Amino acid sequence: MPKNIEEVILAAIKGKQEEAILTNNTPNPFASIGQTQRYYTLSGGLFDETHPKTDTAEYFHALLNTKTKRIIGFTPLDTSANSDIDPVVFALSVDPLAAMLPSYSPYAAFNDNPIFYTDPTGASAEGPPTGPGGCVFPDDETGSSVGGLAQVLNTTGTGGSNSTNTGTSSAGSSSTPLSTDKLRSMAIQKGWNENVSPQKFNWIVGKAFENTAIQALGLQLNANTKPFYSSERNNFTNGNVSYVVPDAVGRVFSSSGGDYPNSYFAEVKAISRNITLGTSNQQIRGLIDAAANSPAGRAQQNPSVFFITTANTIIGNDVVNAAQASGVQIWQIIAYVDDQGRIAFSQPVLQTNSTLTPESLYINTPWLELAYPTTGDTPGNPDPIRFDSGN
Amino acid sequence: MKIITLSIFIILFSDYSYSQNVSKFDTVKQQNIHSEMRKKYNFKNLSKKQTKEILTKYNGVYNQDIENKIGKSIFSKPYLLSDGRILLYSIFDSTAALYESIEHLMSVVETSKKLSQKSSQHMLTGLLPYGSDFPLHVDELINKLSQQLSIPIDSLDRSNKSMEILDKKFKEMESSEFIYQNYFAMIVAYAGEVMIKTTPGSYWKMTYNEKDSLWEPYIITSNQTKFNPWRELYVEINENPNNPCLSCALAGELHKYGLMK
Repeated sequence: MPKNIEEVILAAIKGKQEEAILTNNTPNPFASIGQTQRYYTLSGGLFDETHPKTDTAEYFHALLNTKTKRIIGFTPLDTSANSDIDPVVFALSVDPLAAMLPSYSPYAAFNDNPIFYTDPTGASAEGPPTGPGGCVFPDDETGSSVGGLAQVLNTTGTGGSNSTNTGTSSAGSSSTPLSTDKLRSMAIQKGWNENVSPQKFNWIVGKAFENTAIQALGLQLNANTKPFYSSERNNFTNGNVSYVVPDAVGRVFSSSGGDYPNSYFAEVKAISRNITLGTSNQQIRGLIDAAANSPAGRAQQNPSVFFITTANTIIGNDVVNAAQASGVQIWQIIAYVDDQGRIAFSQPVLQTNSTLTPESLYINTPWLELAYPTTGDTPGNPDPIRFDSGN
Repeated sequence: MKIITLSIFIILFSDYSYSQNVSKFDTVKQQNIHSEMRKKYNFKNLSKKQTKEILTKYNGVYNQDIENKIGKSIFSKPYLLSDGRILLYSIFDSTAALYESIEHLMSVVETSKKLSQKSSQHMLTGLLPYGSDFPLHVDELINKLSQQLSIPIDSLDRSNKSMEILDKKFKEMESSEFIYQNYFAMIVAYAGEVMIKTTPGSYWKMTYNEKDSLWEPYIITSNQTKFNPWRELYVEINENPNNPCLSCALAGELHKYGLMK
């Protein structure tokens, strides 16, 4: 407790308030230019409230690199823990703009949504970019370039260190994270719910989102025709389901020359709850198991699972921990929607602890209409995203 | 002797397209054994709370012998309960799978070992008979579907609505592998015919997949669009073996031609 506050309290107890001097402990950020304005703080200047800068800041379960201004990872959510918050511990730093943002708690950052908002100045949250940025990388073994593919990951950080925005100028003026509710309302606006059962409507919405994601990432629809065995899924379903059939499958390359086919899996999910090991009839358990037993998994060369999701889909702690223990990397790519109802996707964010550099993996997806799913052919890359494990 | 010769003949010539590692007949046999086990024994997925309660109530003890039998796993550990049941404890989410006995668990594990050989093979491997002649046998397969599922043949009128009859019939069926091995060829034949009726002027076309050495059936529309009548069905059965929405898998085509209403 600041000395002068102690004195104020003691003076009050002794009934000698006039002897105590109450000073304003709020920092004056404008002192260097001769101004006297101070931050607005909840303590009204009673307490010395400072805002120290650090290289990495943790907001909820997101880790922000304050220099590169990028989310560099997520700390696992402990869903089993009691969510009570100690108000004293939590109130170490108060938002200097609290008075200007009355609808948000002064203790909140990123509008309580660290996945989708940034705060590059430290002053207030900023919305996501109006168009997805990123680099274009070679999309296949011929080295041709196609915008919209998640491509090369390297550990040196040189592969994708720039952030050139390639051709997304036709996007709407603003974009927001695409939630499952928004996705459903878009489908309803298109009349897809008419004369179909709720089960079929859900299937149609999920499949339309999947098709949009697959196409946005430059992949070919229905290209994966391979089921992958998982003893774990088998044993946790009484043998009812023994395989996983990922939406896309790709190769992992290592810089030492290793080429590991069928070693990363991509799964598109539009669900409003946490993705857990048991989700979709133990599908996620199966995906991690299959990735761990893939050629790259057996060679310990960063087998990966990409989850391409709606905005309110959270990858559970159990999934991250299981992947971590199995040597599997988990990535998440999140959908955005612009004011014209078109969808694009974020950069992949690495969820597991790894020596890989998440900033060096960039994607650049076009804005696409949500299209009714069909089983017809679409152009795309039949041998989808290549992935360099960097080892 | 005649019977034996005939049996060999039938096996040789009816299975000519199944040149893969896994014998279809072995798999079906295994699945049937598994099916009997399924009827005989109960199985349950347990929540965190249920897992804790059962482990406590039945003095669950980690059992290394069982683990050696089923194979070591990073994900799970077997616990032997005082009443002889086996609780397969999921380490990372504290849930569990509860088996009636070691015999029950081993039947599931043994059956799956066969299936592991099919991993990363093309999903049609060993499932569609007749090779490039598949379209010639479509009517025969649909008749068989009608008989095996006790659906009046008249109800299988190749309409959108009739796919929902299949949805109902496959509820609470068996494992996904059981459906694949026993019904998948018939389902593909029927789904293809529904697509053809939905999109006038379309027809079957078999495409040889050299990489996987098998024939893939497609439906080609009058404007040369190629529809796939098997992938979505396969995935739907894999993900929801107890309640597959087969009619959903055709929803796109039906919508495209304005026939969803």
